[in-house]
Amino acid sequence: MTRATLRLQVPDIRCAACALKIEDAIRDLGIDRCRTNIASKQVIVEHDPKQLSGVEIENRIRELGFAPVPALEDQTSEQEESKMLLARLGVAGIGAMQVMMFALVTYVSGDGGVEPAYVKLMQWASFALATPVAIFSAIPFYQSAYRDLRHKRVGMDVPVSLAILSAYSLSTAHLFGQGEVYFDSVCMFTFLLLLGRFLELRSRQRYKDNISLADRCLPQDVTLSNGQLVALTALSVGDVVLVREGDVVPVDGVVQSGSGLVTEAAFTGESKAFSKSVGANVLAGSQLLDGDIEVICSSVPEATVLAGMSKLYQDAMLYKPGFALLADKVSRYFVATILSIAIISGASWYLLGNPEWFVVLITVLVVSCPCALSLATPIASTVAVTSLKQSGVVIKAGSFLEKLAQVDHIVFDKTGTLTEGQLVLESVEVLDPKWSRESILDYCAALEVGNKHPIAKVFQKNTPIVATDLTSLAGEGVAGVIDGVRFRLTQATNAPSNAGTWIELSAEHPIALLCLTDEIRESSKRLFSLLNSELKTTLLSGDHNNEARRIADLLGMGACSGEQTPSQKVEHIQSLQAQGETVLMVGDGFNDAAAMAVADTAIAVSPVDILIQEAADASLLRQDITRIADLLVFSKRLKRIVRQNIGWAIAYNLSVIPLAVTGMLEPWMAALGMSLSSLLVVMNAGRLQRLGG
Amino acid sequence: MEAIFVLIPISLGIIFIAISVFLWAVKNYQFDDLEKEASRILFDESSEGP
Repeated sequence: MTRATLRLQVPDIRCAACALKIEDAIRDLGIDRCRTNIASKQVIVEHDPKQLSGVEIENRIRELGFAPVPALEDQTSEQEESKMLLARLGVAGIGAMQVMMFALVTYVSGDGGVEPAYVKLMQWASFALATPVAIFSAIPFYQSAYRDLRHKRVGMDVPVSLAILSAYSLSTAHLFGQGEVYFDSVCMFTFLLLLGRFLELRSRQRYKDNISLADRCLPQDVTLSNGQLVALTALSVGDVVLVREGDVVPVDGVVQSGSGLVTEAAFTGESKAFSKSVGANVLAGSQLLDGDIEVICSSVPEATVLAGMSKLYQDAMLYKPGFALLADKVSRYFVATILSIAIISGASWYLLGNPEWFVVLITVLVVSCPCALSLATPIASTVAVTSLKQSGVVIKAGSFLEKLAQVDHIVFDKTGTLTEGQLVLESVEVLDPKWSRESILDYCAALEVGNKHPIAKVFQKNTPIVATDLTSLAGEGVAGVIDGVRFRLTQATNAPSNAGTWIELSAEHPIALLCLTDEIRESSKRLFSLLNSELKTTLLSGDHNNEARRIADLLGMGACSGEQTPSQKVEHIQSLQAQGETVLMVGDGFNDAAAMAVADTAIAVSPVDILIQEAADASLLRQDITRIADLLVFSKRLKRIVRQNIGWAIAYNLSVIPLAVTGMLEPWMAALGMSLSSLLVVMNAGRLQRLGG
Repeated sequence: MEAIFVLIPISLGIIFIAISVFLWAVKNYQFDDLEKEASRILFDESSEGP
């Protein structure tokens, strides 16, 4: 029987229940070799392709409501790496435990307490156990040390490998001749270091798993409007793609025909669905909940907003803050210094006639490894960037959080993000005295029945009046016939003031003017009560002066200017900077791009265009600017945690090296201390997992 | 005490068996997902196991 292995990535496995449900369903298909993994969100099935094809298995999983896609190679090899490291760790652990038991005998009995024949036996047994540890378990250290040396660098693993290899070979030499053996140190040391590496790898993989899932949501093949099936990558601008109910939109584009409900949950995390019809923009990665649409591609698959976002995210992950680069540089000199200190102290002890000279030498090598120092910043950045991503904030420039911690003036554009985006009726101005306010509202409600436009929501109520022949006048409003008279509800042409949106109810003549306004969001009020106490805020808006003033007043913002052109915005920000202020610009449109580039740092609110993403250092994927307050707090926390990490790493190394040089530490204490120190740094960084708090 | 010359090699043999069992388990994905197995008992299996 031929067996095939099917690897599927199922991004929506969230808990054990999901995983077990999938396993159960696959077992029901008559397959018993099926593994699911919650951490990597993978399903691996071994099946006989003649009996059951991979597609059938995939379909079965899809029927359960999951969205499987083929797993990528790199993910698989990462798992292999983690498995291999676990095997090495286990061998080192078992070896270390046993060798310690043999070593203990010679420890407690002291010199001459045990017959030499027994000591030799213990040494041979230790040798048997330490050999797999030194040869198999410690390989990762040798590999990385070799890589470093080949590139003419002295990395952290150079002293580590040196310590393991020299302790092992010297002990082996003494085993055949005369003298001490250090097999216990070899094993404990390797085990503890591997433990640190293993936990580090695990946490790194966990954070990494969250990254590119958005990319994987996209279908690999798409159907063109003529029914032809082509690969996603073969699409070009102008192609028309058919998207069916339940499908994920594969490219950015414009709806050419059909209409449907679309959710952008994949990247905004918000499950709210929007109705999209002909002429509407749709983004790659959004899902069509109902209806079928045809989409004209407006970009190639590599240039979609989604692709841009994950590219930005990956770049941000690679970014190293200024002080991390410094730490890297320092640790390089540090290693060279350590090697000399170790050799000098070993040599001095040897010349002084101390038989323990070699133990001191390897202890110094081990204890002074600057692992914690070089981990201190990158791990904190990685955790921070990941937790930001999870709460809908994508960072382009890694320096964003560093800069954000220094901001003292925030400039907002876009009044739209501060308001509910939901209109309410502010006032009714009756033009025809025969009409009452009540009947006007009844008529409006009748005209808006079944309409999906935001304005229609304002008038939603039960009305005794029935309108027939309802038509919507593109871009203008609605019209309908009530009691034989044709009524229109349209945009007012002669609005009495500029604040708010004015619409007009008319039949043959105007009947009433209605003023609709956009309420300030509760969350914006909270944000500003928080911001105003700590920072200066300014509203620079392209909107009308009155509207800008109204919003600025309601929110208690310090300064405000309406009717700003892009170049005025730039000048305004430059004048603030001239006063020595660090400016954060918050905006969302093309017209802000220049101002964003000038400002010290910038946040784009739910950008729909790559250009804006590029101009801003960070993008809020949801239209929720209260995140900004969280971000400000978060940036300060990150700074604090990085400082703690670096402070700890330096303090640790400086305080233990003298102890090791003076021979007060055993090698295993050194290995334990070093691993704990690295773990402490990783755990401290783990506190950044939540954005709030 | 001479027994120790026999017992220690035997114990070494047992340790190597333990190590091979461990390596077998790692290789066969026994440590792949420790979270899920803990919850398995909480869910009814829809079908009889193989």
